[in-house]
Amino acid sequence: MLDPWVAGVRDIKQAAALWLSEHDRAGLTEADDAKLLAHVVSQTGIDETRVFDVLVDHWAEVRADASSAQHKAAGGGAGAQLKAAGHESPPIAGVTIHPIEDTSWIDERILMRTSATDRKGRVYGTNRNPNVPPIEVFNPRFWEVRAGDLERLIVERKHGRFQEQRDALSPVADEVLLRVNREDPISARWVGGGLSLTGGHHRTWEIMDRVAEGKMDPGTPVRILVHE
Amino acid sequence: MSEFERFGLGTPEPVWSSAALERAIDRELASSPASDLIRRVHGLLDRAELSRAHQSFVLDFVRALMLKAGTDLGDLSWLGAAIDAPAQALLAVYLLPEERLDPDVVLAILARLEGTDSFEEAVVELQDAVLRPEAARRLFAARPDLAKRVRAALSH
Repeated sequence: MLDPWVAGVRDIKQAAALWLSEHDRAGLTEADDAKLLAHVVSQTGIDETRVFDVLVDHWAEVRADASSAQHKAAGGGAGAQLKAAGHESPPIAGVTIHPIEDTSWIDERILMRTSATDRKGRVYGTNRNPNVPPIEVFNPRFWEVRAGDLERLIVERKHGRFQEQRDALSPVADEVLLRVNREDPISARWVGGGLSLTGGHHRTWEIMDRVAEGKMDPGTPVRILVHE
Repeated sequence: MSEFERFGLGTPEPVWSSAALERAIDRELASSPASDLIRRVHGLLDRAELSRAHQSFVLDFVRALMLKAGTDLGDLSWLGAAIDAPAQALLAVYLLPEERLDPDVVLAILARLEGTDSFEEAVVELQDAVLRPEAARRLFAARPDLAKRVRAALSH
């Protein structure tokens, strides 16, 4: 027989809310998890192999709702919301963090830059886990850094320089190079000690070249979309 | 030369850009099905060891392809039987549908990724298939040493 707290669950979001509250209150055992998941499968018809993923997505959604409600009750701004979500102060000197109020422009292609995984530890966007990560998991914010600091801040890149792209950027004006391209922003993850670049590799190389050649002021601000 | 050949996938350090990769996928998908494109990329990875750049490329390629073509990528039955290089094994990890991950395919993938930086990730990605009783039995019977490493990776 199902425990009353499980039997009351009728949909996946309700299950996620329950899961979240129980985890926060006392923690769930694996047996509790299994009971809840089996019940969710029977109630919703969602395939058992996908239910973890769906639950985790809704869990993030429920957590975001709860965070938003707290935020509204506290009358805080976006900065307060970020703080409530456990975000860091700038870990290094010379960096300013800007919250992103409107995230609607962040599309699936950008969300797929995340290194976050689902509950089973599987990356997003493959046949093992074809879901797109929720925005709360992606957790975007802008870092404004000095162009002259890029070289020391970027400690990892996904790939080397592609000549065709290098040639295409060479004649581009500074303003265009530095403008936040919402379709393909310069983006990175903080990996402790530096940034691991996830997008805008060639633009950052071009900026670094211009600084090194004295064509760009090293104090020029550069915006990087930092995410999980 | 195909778009993908310019990325130097057979070299130790392939280079690309997200824009060039997306353009290349779009052009290939305009004239052939996703499974043909996968076969071409798989062929270019046949000499590839698994550098960090290869790991990134394979994941970038799979994600971009699936955003454009969806999860139904056509007949990939050949892929599980064509795992010669580690980069091809990683491609199979991300692309093969669950029903194609029979015990022999799982064993071939993990054996090819053994000793690489992608081994633990592959075990985690394939956990549903690895933990099926028939796959676990096959793994222990064929490669007990590998089975122990799989178990260790799953317990991390």
